[in-house]
Amino acid sequence: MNDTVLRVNAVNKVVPSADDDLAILQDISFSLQQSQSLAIVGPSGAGKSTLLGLLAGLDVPTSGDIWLGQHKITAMNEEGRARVRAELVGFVFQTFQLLGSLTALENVALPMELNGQPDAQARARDYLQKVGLGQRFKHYPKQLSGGEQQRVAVARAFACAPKLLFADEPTGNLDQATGEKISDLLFELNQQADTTLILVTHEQRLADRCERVITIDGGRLVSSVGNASVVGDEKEHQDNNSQQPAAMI
Amino acid sequence: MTLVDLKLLYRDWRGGQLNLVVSALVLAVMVVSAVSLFADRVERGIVQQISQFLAADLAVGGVIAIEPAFKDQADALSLNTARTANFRSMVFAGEKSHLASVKAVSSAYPLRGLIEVANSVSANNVQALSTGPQQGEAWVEPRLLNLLNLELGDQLSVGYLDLTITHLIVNEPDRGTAFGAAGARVMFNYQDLPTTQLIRPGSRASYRLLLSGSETSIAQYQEWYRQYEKNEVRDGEAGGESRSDTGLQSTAAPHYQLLTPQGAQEQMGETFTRGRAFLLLSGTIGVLLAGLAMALASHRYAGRLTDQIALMKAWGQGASAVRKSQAIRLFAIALFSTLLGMLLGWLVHYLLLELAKELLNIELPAPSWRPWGVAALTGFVCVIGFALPALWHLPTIAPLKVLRRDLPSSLVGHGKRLSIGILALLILTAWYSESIVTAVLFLAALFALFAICGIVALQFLRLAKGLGAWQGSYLRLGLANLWRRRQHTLIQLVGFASTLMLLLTVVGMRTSLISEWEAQLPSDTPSHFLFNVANSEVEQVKGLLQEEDLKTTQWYPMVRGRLVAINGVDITPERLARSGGLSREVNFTQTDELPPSNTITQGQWWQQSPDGFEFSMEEEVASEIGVNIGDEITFSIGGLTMTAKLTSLRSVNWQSMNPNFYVIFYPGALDKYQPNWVTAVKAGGLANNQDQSLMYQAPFVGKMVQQFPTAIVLELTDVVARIRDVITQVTQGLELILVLVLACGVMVLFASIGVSFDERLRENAILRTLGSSKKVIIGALTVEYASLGAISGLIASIGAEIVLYFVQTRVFDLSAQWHPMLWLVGLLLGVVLITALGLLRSREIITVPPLESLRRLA
Ligand SMILES: Nc1ncnc2c1ncn2[C@@H]1O[C@H](COP(=O)(O)OP(=O)(O)OP(=O)(O)O)[C@@H](O)[C@H]1O
Ligand SMILES: [Mg+2]
Repeated sequence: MNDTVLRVNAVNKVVPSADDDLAILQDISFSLQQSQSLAIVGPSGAGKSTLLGLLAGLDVPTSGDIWLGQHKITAMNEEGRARVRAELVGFVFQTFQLLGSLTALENVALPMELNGQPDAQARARDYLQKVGLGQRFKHYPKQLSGGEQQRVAVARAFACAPKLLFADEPTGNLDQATGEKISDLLFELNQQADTTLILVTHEQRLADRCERVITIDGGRLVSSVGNASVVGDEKEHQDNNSQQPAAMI
Repeated sequence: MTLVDLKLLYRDWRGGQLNLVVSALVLAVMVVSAVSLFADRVERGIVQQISQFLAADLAVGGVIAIEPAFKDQADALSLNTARTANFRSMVFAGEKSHLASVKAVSSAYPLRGLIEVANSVSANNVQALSTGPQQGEAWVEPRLLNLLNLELGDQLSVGYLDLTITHLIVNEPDRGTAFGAAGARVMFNYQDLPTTQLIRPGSRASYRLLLSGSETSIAQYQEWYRQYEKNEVRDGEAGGESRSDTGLQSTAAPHYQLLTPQGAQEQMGETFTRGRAFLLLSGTIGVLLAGLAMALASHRYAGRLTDQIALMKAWGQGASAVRKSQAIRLFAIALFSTLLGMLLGWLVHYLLLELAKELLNIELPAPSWRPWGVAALTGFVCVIGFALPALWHLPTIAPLKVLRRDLPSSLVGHGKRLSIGILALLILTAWYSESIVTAVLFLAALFALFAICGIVALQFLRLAKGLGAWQGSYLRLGLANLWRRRQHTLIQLVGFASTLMLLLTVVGMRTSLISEWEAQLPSDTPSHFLFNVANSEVEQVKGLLQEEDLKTTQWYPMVRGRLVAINGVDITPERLARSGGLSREVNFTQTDELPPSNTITQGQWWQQSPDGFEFSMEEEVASEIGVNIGDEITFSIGGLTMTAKLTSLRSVNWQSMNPNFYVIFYPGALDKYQPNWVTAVKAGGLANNQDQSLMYQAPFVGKMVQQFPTAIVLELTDVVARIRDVITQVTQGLELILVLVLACGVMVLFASIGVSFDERLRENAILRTLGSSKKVIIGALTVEYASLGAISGLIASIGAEIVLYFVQTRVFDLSAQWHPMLWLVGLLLGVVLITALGLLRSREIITVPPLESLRRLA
């Protein structure tokens, strides 16, 4: 239960830019136990998504090391990391990322089908029921509301039973009430499935529900706190921001 | 894995994302397989017929009677022999006559194969006989009975010979490639030939000595013939004295030819390779357009797959797994589309056969594997050349793209895609035409055409933009759209304009060329030609025509012969072949008066009697064959040679429809060859002959054939009708192919609307939210597509008019003429077709409510 499932050591990310190299992340180190939940917070452009990508093995740091489970993914090539992702990792995205040509059921079943899981359909049904979409199997994403779409995405992520679930602003595109429901769902399923949850968020309420919160600012880890609110002065500004997209639709 | 890939493919298909790629591919394969199935079956049908072409193992063919020495040699080798003679002659019964294709056969005919005959018109009880007609019998093609109103058992006259019709010919082993358009067959016994009195020294006939026997004897005979030919050549070089060991006059040699089944097949084979290449190349334009549509549609498809692939990779699919999945999906698409295309092509080829039915009066065998091979190759090369480059980058998409959607994909560059596409086309055209050179030339010509169309189209676009600038509302909106997306606009314009241009040109040729040619004939154009009038008959025929109050052109004596040497040096067959007009036996005449439609361009028409023989030549053939004033040319006429000096060159107005000649001698030169006489008669007009019944015959024709049964009366109307038939059938076939090509052009339209679809959806949603009415948006789209259609139609009409101008003035020697119908059809077709299809494809842009559009694109 208390195994370290994620370990980050002195990670830097530098990208080439027009005149100078740009350091997006500098000297990030922390670790996380199995079944814990972690929120990554910070102002826009701080490097949160970049960090999440590195943690999930979607990208490689310029220097430093990352361990996912037993795997030192920074020492692996892309094919190796792909195997680790297939084994351990699930995702939920701000923009849902459902495939428009697939029904809800097919969307949930797809990653399992790709892994050759024989009971993909049954599990997909099961998880759609769990997120309260038992009546919507045959509906296409465009026939679902934003919240429903994100619920499908959550079902899709959990149906694969990942050890680690990465979520980049899972409620960012939703109004507050809907966002609330999605985060309820996330934590509920997280509890059931014993998953390690790592999420990037602007929403204080969501961050508050995580056991740990780390704050990134200007690419640096400025605080790492267990189960407490630490981003007070940012809060109002962030909330306004997160309302913006929902108001547009 | 495979099952999942197919599942994914099915879901893409269900979502309509594959529609365009698949339809474009199906169309391309359909065009190509229809054309090649058609060509293949026709070719094999004809080759199959040629394999029995000779009704013998070997034959000596000649345009003069076969010398006895050939038969003697055959007897010496104890080969079986038979004789045939083919020529055109009037056959008649009572008042009615027909210019038939007559064949006299000796009793041993056919040496190989059987003659299929029936005993009543309706009968299906076909008998196969191993011998031909007895003396006094006529075996005829069934249609002759209709033409002359006859029945089995009736009398039929051929020259001075009276025959009884005893059998109807269904098929004969050496019918060859005779097209249905030729005169009806009349076959009788060789021993009756002299009685007809049709064959005289100047008559035009082709003779054959058929041979059959053991393989060794046949080989020996061939060897003997080769030896004989070689001696001829050596003699020619030595100066032309005749040799004695073959017992033949050396000068007769050029008139003879050894015919083998293989030789005939090779000759036809070449013709057909060219025909097939021509048809396939016209299909290539369809492949090119379909390829373009596929490339555009694949680009869009790739865009839609990007998210899916990024997700798959984030979930842990490796690049190689994605590549494999991609390959499986593409293979499935290629396989499915190719099979469907082949199936549709199979159906369409029946349409082509139907159109060419009358032209190709042959039995068609099943196709070989080749057309299927061509179709399959087309399908797969198209996928690899046009679809794959657009999808190639997908497996390399970074999984990080799920978080950072702006991450660029490493697309295959446009230059590279273009090169790959052109390479694919090159491979296909080279395979179609069986020649790299043809392929390169064809593609170069095609791209040149595209370039010209493109440049013209760009000018029109500029004009349209300028026009839009001071017009209001949706007119401006539509024209601005056209200009803003001018790259795609140009692609569509070029595709449509060039296809429509070809279509209009072909339609123009079918509908107007012949009638324009007829309309431009001067009113004194003759309606009938009289051939084969004997020396002794000329005065009586003149009398008869005078009685009938008919005018004729000058009477010309005519013999047939060929060129054998220039300034004492033998003419090689290659040199002769440079001039289409002189490569075969041609008609010579002699006259002291320059024929009316001729003008001297070099040298002098004879003023007083020259010392030796002199002659005048038509300037074009003279330059083709490379002879000049003062050259001494040796001619062979009916096996005898004569040398004459070239003293003038003439230009000839062939349009005059008078008897015209390439070679005219000073009077007296041809006397010893017993020429026949020829003239042209004006009897009734040509203009209204389409209304007249096909059975109509000018009254003098009946009297002519009764009194002068060996004379040949050729009706110009018949000839024109026959040419019209051939042109109609050929062009209709081409039109069908081009309509399919046009459908490929429609795919390009759909694909390029597809490429800009999301953009249009967003723009129109914004316009609508800003308060533009639906009417404005429909109006703008209509303006856009209608202008696209109008410009395409305009360019197509201009192009077609230019092509027709050249055909009219250069090929037909007509004065140029506008074709307003063509312009109307071109413009209308362009506007209606493109507007209708464009709006159909864009209906979602119009009908989807703006809010939903924006949400869908979020
Ligand atoms: N590959 C790259 N090339 C250049 N700049 C990059 C690259 N990746 C990230 N950045 C920059 O690094 C910074 C951090 O980006 P990141 O997306 O991680 O921020 P974020 O904290 O997720 O912000 P937000 O809250 O707005 O999503 C941004 O300024 C971004 O433009
Ligand atoms: Mg972010």
